[in-house]
Amino acid sequence: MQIFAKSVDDFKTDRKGISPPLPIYLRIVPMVFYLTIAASILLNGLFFVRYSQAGKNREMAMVRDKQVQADLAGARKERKDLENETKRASDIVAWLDASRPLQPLVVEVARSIDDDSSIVELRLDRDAENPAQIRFSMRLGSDTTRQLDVTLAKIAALRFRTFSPQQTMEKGAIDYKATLIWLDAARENAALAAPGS
Amino acid sequence: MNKKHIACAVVLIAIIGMVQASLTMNQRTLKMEADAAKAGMTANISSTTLTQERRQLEDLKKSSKPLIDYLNLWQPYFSAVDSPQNAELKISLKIKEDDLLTLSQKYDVVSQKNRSLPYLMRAQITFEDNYARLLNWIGRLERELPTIRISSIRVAKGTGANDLKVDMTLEQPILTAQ
Repeated sequence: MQIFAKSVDDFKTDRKGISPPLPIYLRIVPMVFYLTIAASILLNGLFFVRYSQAGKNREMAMVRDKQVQADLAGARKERKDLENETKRASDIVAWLDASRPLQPLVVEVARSIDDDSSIVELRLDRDAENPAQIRFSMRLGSDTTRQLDVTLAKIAALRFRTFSPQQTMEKGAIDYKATLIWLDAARENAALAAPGS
Repeated sequence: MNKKHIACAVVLIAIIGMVQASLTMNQRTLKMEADAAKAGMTANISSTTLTQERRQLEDLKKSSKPLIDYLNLWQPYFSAVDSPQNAELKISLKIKEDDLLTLSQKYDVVSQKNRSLPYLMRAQITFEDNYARLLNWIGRLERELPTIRISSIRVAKGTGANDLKVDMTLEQPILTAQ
């Protein structure tokens, strides 16, 4: 069936106020819009991957740091405990150094006395500040210093060195005072002494 | 301004919004990467510190081993005399074993600066007995109670021909004052 153009035109309603076309530069707006959508999807996808990866890396680093901090605290505690033990051991060594038996010294001094001499009084006092030092004082009943020399030689043979000696001689008696310090030749190299030795 | 202009403005706003969102996302990503790098650096620093700490610990272990071994060797001897009563009993028993004549005995607990051995049982004893018995007893005391210290000893002639008068101050470290 043939429809005449005129008849169709008759069906159209009147159009009024049709706006003029946009300027040419604004026609790129839709293109920019589509490009922006594509770029946004692409870039944000990329950013999201990087963000997720960085988040995982941060979490892993934090977990590693936490573990290392725990290990560090353990190592520090162990070192502190060890330092305390070492301090305690040093105190024990200091005590034992200052507790060296005196009986051998007394016996050696007593044995060194000849028949013509005697010990009126023998006194050994450990120094209050430094107990490893022994204040030695002896009153000998003797007319000569020969006996004193013999006794001091015996003391030296026990590895005691005398410091600040003072000697006075009266009628038939010699007063001798000195500080004794025991010399441990093997201290630097040898193993430390066993208990009861 | 017609509808086409308004539509353009809306589309432009949408474009600006998407760009802004992308920039924000980029900033957040950069911040997160910076945080991750910082956390990684902190972990590395901690790890380095841990390595140094472990090295120091190993050095300390090596250097203190003789001392620690020495401590372990002597610890039982110090632990064996843990109270004033125990210390007094041990010294009294030693005197009784040899039946020595004691003129006086005095026991006191004193504190000292040494933190590892904070207390001492101080015994001041005066003997008068045979020369050989007394000196042998002193030697045995120092051998059997190796942690004891003779802090002072005064030897003089006794009343008998072979007798000595000995004033001694003994110090025995104890763990507690009670």
